Amino acid sequence: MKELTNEELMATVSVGNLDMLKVLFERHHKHVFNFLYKMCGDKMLSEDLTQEVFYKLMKYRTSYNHGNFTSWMFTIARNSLKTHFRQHKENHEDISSVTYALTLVQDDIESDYSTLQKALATLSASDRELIVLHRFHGIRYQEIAAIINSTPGAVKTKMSRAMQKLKSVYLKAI
Amino acid sequence: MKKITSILFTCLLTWTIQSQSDYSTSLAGIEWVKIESKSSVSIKTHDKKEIRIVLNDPKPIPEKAKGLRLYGDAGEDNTTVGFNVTTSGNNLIVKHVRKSGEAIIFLPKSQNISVTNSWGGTTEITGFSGEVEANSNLNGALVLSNLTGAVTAYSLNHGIQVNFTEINQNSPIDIRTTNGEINVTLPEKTSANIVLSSWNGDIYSNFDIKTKEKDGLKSFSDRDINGIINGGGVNIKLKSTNGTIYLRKE
Amino acid sequence: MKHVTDSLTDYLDGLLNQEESAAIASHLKECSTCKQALAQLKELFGAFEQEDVLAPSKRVREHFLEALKSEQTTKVATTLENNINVLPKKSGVRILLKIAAGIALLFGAFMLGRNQNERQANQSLATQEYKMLEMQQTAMISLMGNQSPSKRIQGVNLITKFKNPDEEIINALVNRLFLDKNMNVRLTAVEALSMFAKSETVKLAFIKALATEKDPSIQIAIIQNLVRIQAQNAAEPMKYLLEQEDTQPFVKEEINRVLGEII
Repeated sequence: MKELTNEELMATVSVGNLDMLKVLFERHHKHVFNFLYKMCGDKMLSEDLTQEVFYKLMKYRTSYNHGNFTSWMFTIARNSLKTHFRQHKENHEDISSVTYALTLVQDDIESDYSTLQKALATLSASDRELIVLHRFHGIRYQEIAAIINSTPGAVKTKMSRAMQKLKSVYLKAI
Repeated sequence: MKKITSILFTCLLTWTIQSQSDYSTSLAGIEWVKIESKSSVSIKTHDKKEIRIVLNDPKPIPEKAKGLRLYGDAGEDNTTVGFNVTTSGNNLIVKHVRKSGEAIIFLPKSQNISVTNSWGGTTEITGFSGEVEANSNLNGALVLSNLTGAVTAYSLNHGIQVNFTEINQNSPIDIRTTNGEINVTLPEKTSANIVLSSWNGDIYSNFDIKTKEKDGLKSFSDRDINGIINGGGVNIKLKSTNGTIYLRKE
Repeated sequence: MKHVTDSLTDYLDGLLNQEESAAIASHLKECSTCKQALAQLKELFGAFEQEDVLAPSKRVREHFLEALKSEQTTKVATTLENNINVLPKKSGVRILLKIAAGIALLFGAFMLGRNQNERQANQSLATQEYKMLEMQQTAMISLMGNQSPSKRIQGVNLITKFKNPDEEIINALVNRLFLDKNMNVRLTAVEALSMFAKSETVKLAFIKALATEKDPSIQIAIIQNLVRIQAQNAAEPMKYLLEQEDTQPFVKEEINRVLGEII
């Protein structure tokens, strides 16, 4: 027996069977939370936004028309994050307005951030999201392109530069 | 006095002609527009949230029919353009009362549309992003173009031609004929799982279809060509009993 | 050979073909710069793998479930109404009520299972499979009850998830064959039922359908199935079709061809 795919579950949700959303929640809420946490470094905010993402999946269920469910979910997660920082920072349209909570933490204070997370935090938000989506969540270039509204080729180029930056920061830190 | 009468008469005449060739009503609360016809209908998009029906070649109403109302097995003409339009739940039922005569129907781009042709002529549907359901139960041809949403189409004796400008959804596409040919064009980069099958007809395609190993479940019949294009994705099934199948790249 | 630093990520990810991979491996043997770069990259990748996956606090699930519940209480009426339009009147209501009751039980149990799962690690595999089955049936029947023919086809296609579908699922498919207004859905239902043509219910449904079916594509598909399973009592409805004037010539031809095989 094969499990229902994300897309099949979401199609069922979109025709009014909301209980299936519980299954999608169980499958994915940790991924959404970890994506948000890696992006902003703020646990409370990431939890709030995780709730918001699933609330939006529920509210916009009838407009679900995208082939790939995880792409759609991360698109919503990314937009929620963007909207949050736009509201609190004013005037910034793109993902670059996402600031990292870490920058507020002084270096000498002991924290539970890993070296890798600290290194990630030094990157720009638009570089960081590529790496987080690809390396932590296994999202392919093609799908990332759909999420950030770019092309797979551009994603690949940008990703490789971002990885170079990350590598040099990380190696200095250890 | 004579002049005024003639002006009045002209006004009345113009009004009558207009009212006979053009009808519109709001689509508020309507999810599906279901159209039934026995002759050619062309369905196009417009920017209003309403349905507008225009007679393509309004034939003069016979002299003898003046003051009378058109009746047919589809009901009475309650639109003055030869159609019977009623609401049923969240469906708008649009029936062509006349047995001949062509019409153009305008609907919003995202409208879900279901069309049934039960006699003959060509049903053209162009430019929609909503779901399209098209049935030709006897001799009608189906020509569907510039669509992006889910499509289900069936034709008994005539062919089906479909041209997609984009395929970005998860609902399956299912196109079948008994005797007519199937001619489908997809954008080159479409990712899809494809099933092509014709019992007595040939199958042609310029897509690079990677056939899957038969796992005994996905393949319903030995005659099916079952494969994926561009890594796989939405299910697209083209099947015919006697017709030829063409699947082309845009 | 030039340095290969740009390709090292793809090399580690296993995205290169054999030839490219071999070229890089041989370069790495000779070039200490690239070798060092590879070691550094490996170190970084190792850090990715070691990174913890964090769990959000319980309130996230609690709040989500609350929001879902309140959405459901406002939604139930309209969804039921919409679905009834397309389901066969009599059994439709029955199925829907059954679904409604089933969902309450099933998902109560499902969520309970989840919570327990956090405390006691082991849960019997059989129960999990049972839940999955229930879920698939629910998904299939909700999709098949939708207004959209494409969604109904998606529902019918979920049959591929089942190895041994129960009578209820088979009957739901038989209903699609007999009652659906859309030919594409009906033909998809025939294909789905074909996978279980040996079942007595399906065989009887096919024989019954052949006696009333007007569409030649469905006639042909059913005839092929009945021949495949060697259904003895299929000869009768086939002979009847032969006698009918409006049966298409190619259908008659096929019947003549196969009649010998099943008698």
